[in-house]
Amino acid sequence: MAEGVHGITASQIKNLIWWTVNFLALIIILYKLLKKPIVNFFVSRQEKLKKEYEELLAKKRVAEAKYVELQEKVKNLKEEAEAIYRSYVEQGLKERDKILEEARLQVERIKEQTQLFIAQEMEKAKQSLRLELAEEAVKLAEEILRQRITPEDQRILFQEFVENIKGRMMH
Amino acid sequence: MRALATALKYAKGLFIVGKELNKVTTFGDDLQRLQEGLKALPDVLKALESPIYPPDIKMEILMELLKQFKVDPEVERFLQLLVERRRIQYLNDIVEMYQALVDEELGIARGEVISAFELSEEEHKTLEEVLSEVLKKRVYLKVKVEPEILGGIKVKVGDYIWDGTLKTQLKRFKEIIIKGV
Repeated sequence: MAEGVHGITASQIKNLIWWTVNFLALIIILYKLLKKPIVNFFVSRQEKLKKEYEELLAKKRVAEAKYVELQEKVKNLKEEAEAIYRSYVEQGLKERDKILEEARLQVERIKEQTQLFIAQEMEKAKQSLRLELAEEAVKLAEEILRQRITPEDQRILFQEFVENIKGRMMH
Repeated sequence: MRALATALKYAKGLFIVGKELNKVTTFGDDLQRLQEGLKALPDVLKALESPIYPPDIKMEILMELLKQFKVDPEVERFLQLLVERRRIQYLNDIVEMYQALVDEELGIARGEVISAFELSEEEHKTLEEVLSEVLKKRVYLKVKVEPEILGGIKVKVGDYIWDGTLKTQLKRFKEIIIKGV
């Protein structure tokens, strides 16, 4: 007992050995059973991470390319805006010239029409005046003839008429 | 148009008979006298032309009329025929057409002279002679006085017109002024 109280007993050593052997056996069993899944887990995990990493790299590259493109676009934006502005100005000027040309032609047309209208109105007025003049002249002539024509004049007219017919007959 | 065709048919019939009997002028004169007489009796003419009166009444009227206007027996028979056949209303047209046929046969042209003053016999004759020479036909002119023509004369014979009136000359003068020539 004393031996037992002051030192390690045999059963304790035996237990120690037994526990050590059990522990080793457990280690071996665990190693045998878990080695493959654990290795697989980590390989898979590694591959997954690698894949994610590559994907992120690709995205990064795309983003960088986009970034470069956008930077390029931003750089060209001013030039494009200027080009658009120039184009609009050019179109505006062309449109202005076109409108001015059309307006000029319209003015010419209106001018021609007005001149024609004036000429027509003048002609109408002249014609009306001529008609009035003719009517008045004839009216006056008729009045004078009625008042002044004598039987002798009528005989002369008759003779002229007869002579005229005779003349035609001879020709 | 149909009336004129009918009138022409009867006028030609009488004309043929007149030629056969050598009486075209006599018939023409008779018809002219009758026509002139009827002009003076418008009621009688109206009664003859009216479709209301039956042929026997018209025949009575005609016989009364012929007592006043003595005509050749052939003309009388012709007029009776017109009444019987209800063609008496075409009498005026028949007379006109008959006269035209006679004129054509005898080389006569009838026309009208319009004058502003009354023509003397001599002037009338002179004008007819001159126109007869021009048209190579015997020309007879009826004188019509129209002071509106102011002066000069106008003659119409068939399709021919000679216009020497002052009215027409003034009209031409007016046209010249209007045209601004």
